[in-house]
Amino acid sequence: MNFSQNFFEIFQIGVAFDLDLADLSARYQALQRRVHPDRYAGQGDQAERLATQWATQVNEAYATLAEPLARASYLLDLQGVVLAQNPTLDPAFLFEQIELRETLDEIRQVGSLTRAEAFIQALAEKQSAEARVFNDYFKAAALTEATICVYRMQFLGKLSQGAKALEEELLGY
Amino acid sequence: MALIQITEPGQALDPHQRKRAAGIDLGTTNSLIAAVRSGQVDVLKDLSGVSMLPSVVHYSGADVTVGAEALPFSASEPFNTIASAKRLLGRGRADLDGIAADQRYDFASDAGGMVRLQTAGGVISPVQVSAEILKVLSDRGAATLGGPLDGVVITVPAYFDDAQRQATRDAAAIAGLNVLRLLNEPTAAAVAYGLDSGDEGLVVIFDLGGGTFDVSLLRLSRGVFEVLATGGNSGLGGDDFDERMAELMLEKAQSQGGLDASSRRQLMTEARRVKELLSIQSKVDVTLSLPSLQWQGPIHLAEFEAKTAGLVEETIKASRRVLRDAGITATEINQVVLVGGSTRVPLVRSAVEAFFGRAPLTEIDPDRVVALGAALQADVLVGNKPDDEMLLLDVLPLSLGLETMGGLVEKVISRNTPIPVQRAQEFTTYKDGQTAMLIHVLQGEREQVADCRSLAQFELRGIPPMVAGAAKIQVVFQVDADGLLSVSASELATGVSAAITVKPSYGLSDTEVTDMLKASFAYAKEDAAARMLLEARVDGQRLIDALSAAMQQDGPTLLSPDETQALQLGIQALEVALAGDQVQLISAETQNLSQASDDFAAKRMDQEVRKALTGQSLDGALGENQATADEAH
Repeated sequence: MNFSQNFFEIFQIGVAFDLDLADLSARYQALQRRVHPDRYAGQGDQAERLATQWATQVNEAYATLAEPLARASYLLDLQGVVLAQNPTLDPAFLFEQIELRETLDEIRQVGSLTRAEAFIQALAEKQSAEARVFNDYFKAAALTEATICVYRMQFLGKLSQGAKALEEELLGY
Repeated sequence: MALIQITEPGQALDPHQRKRAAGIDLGTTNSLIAAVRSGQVDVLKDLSGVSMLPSVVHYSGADVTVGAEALPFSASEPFNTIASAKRLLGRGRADLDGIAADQRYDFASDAGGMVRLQTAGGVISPVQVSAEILKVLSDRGAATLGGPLDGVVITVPAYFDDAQRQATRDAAAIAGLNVLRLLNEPTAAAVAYGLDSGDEGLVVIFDLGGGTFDVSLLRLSRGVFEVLATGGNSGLGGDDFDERMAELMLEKAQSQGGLDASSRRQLMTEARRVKELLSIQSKVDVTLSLPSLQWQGPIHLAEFEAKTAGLVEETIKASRRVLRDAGITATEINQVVLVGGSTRVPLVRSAVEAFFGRAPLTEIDPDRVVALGAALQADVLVGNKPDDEMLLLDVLPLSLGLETMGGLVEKVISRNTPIPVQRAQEFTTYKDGQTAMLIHVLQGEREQVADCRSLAQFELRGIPPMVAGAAKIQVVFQVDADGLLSVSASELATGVSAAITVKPSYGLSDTEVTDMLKASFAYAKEDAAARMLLEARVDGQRLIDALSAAMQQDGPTLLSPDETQALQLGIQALEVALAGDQVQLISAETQNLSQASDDFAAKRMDQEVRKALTGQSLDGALGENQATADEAH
């Protein structure tokens, strides 16, 4: 492993979206066993610093590959796709997003925890459906379509974050 | 100090190479030190056979007494006798409103920053109080293990923020300890349980101590302790139960007006005694005979439970949140472990059992389990168990962020992110010609700056004048394996940069730590020069030992003959320096050799990483391969 390796190379797995997450987790632990600074405690600053850098890199790689949106974005990045800050998406999708946002606002106003939880659940299903579509396009090397999927996943992800924040608020955290 | 010492399995260390390592539980109410001796982990006792050291320090002029000897002064000289200093670590005056601190401490005039206490021994920082406790434990460790400690692991509540962790580190520095790691208390408890039982699966550690509450969810698998989520309240503990009991007594005694400080201390002592009795009986007859209050009457368990139900509910709420963060339901939990003396309170036990739907484990003394776990890790970290499979993967307990426009906090690293971690965020200027930017680092979950904890503020200056929004300012957060944060900022176009180790708003400066170190009792008695020489020699010898072992192991494969020769010359030069007594020469030669061996260290690290994954099929039988992977190399 060196710092120019990509995250898939770090774990020595093939570049793909549909990963075996249990296998990834096992590889993550195997790597941390070797590079975690605990293995180098008391062996001087340089050794600990080096280990910390590696462990940090392994954590970053794992965080990126373990999470679908981060993994999808990373795959596109490896393919040289530069994601737009303000992408244009088809009106039907945007219209649905506006509706979802309005629903979330309404839930906030009523302060209903059960509705917030149901909303988060429904969003999670949309997110996995979108991820499956991404996987199909990515496998078929249809990068333009895959990129659009990532934009849609970004929208859904933002919305889900907002919904989870609301849920925490309603739970009194 | 460049060498990475990797000893392969089966290569036992010579007995004389065995290092003296200990785990220290620096508690709010009591502190403990434990160590592994002849393969057995146990707490270390003082000369009179007592293991628990009350975390109490008494100051009188130049004299400092610690522990049981300091306790009697608690009633007669309440303000010179500092208890529960852990609750003050890394805390400002405003943080302490909730803990009735005024009645217990005489705060020195508030100059901002961490609180200071007015005592007969002068103005004292809670860091110094903690250092006194650490020194007593360190001396006990040295006496029991036959020499100064090579390294210690000190436990902290998982929910400690950066300021509190830094303050603990500073206390250790003042006590002259080599800290191998700050370990989260629940993780330590998991180690103590997990290593014994070889348990697998999801484990909740519910840790209610004297002054802090932590709840952590861990996944255990073949020696790996992976923290999935952690939560709690670093200002909730047994002290609060004592307070409620005292309130209850005052109510029943129909006490009018306040108590003097001495009566108050006596009342608290009685409150604690009654609380403890109510863990084994349902009614206690109380006789209060304080200078300013006389009362006799019964206290019933039910009354106490009514008074403390809110505190217990807080702990359950935090538990619910931890499960939610990890996306786990209570039914999936395999074990619940109780840690901390306050989990003896019956209401706490029953609430935990009801929430998780299973009887919690309490086999290991909840007062000792943290110290025992810390000792086990210290033994591994110091290098006594090179073939140990134990690995602790911990997380950041509280989100870290930066202040943005409008007094809002933008999160840079979210809570429960595995550490060590590094994340960068880009910002820009909001005014034309803006040449400086204030970086305000915060920790907490809320959106508003005012609701989060301010860790540090610093300025990035020298940004070239540009139109608003043109500058690209990158702020990098790094959190190390101790959970300590450092932050740097730079303007990407010009490379102007500023960096700080977060010495927080509520911390001590490096100079203050050095001054305290110089002023500290143990240090004053020693010859400073002799101590520096000793330290330089230890460092130098450690490098030679590590490098020689590494060269023997990997030199033939990783080093060219020229490289080998260069390193051998470096070792010889350092050995010559070590034979003399010139500190500067020893340090210089150590530094040279360390630099010369950097490349070798990096190569060995690469080799380690390749070993981790090559030749193994990890799919399916996940860990079984790992258990044997080491032997394959």
